[in-house]
Amino acid sequence: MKKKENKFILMIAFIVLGIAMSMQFKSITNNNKTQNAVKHEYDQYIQQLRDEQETGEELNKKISNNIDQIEAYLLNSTDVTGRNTSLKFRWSLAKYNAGLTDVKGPGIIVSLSDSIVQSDDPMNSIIHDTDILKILNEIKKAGAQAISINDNRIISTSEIVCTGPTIRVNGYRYTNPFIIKAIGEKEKLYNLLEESVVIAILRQFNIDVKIEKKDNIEVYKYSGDLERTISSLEEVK
Amino acid sequence: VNRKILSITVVCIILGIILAVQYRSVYNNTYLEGIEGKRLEDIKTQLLMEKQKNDDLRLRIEELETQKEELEGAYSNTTSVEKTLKKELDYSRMIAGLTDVKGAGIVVTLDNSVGLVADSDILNIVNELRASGAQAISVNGQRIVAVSEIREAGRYIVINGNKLMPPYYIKAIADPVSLKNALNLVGGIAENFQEMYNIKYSIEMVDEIVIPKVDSSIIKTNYLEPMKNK
Repeated sequence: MKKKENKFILMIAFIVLGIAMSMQFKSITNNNKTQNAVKHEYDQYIQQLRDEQETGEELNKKISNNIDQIEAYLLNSTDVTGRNTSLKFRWSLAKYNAGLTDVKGPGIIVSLSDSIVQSDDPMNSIIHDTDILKILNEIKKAGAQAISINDNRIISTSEIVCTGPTIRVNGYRYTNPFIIKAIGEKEKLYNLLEESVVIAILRQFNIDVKIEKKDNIEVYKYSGDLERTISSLEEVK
Repeated sequence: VNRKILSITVVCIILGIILAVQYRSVYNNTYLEGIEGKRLEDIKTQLLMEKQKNDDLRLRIEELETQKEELEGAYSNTTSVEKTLKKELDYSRMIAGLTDVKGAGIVVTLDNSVGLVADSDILNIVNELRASGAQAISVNGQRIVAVSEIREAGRYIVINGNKLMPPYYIKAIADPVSLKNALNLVGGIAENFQEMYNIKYSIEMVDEIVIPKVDSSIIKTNYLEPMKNK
């Protein structure tokens, strides 16, 4: 009697074991299948995204070249009477002060990318506009003289707006990672930013923050339409 | 008998382990799928944004090409070059914040008679105003330029190296209605001030606001070097 009972228990145990194993096998093959499909789709989108980003870089270069050509034309224009000489000089200086020229110099490069580690609250592991706003403010406190985000120059009207996984700067949307370049006293920029609360908090939430000191950082000019940028302003003489 | 009990025990232990492993594997798989799905959605959104940005860039190129053609049409005409130069100079100086400007806009008043106004409050308002199209902004007479910092110093705020005392008057020039609407959005900045921080806050639309120029010594360029021939 006892023998039979034991055998019965064993049989049930093996049946359960068999079902469990086949379920697992099925589940794993299924998962592999869907994961492969997802991966394939993912790779396709990544490729498209890279192509589009490359196109964007080329377009930016074209814009920059066009602006350079227009400026060169104005600066090299014939000026028999010499009337325009002082205008040209003042214009170059004003452009320099407004962020309308490409500049280089010592400074820091800050790279930020969203956390790869999943946190309980997904809002914690992504970068918000207020984070970047605060970082920019810290950089300005440290006396930065020229700043760009993803190579878009920060000027007096530059906004930082977060929409989903993107950040809008000067009307253009940028996606993660965010690269902030700042020219100024590099030690001061580096130290003040490294000690700042905003960076400490981002690091706590596993945001990948990298701050590098560099001797030759290139910050490009603002390339938006100037007339539109000041369309509501009238000079008070 | 003891041996049989032992063998059943061993089988049960193995079964238990296998079940646990399977549970773990299934759990992991669903978890991973969730992440991949989320990433895929992100990538799709990014792609859309990138395409939209490139379209905007193409429009900008068209604008510049037209501008170039117009200029070339005016070739060797000193007067028309002079006119363009003057215009460009004015635009540049306005963008740099080197001229007094006027226009329609709003005045935001923040009074910390009850709560304390933090630097981040002003930073957020200024950013919100920029996002809704503000073309010139000042806080208590300090023009906000590209390099203007906003620093908290006890009960004061320091901007452009100048100590500012409350109440804070933030002036902005752009379409007053869209500026006001942006600040008054549900769940927006205005609501936060009134409900959470107990800060006195008001917005006034004005037909003509004057915003002073920045002290030009604020804009330093000693670390900058112009880039030639990239």
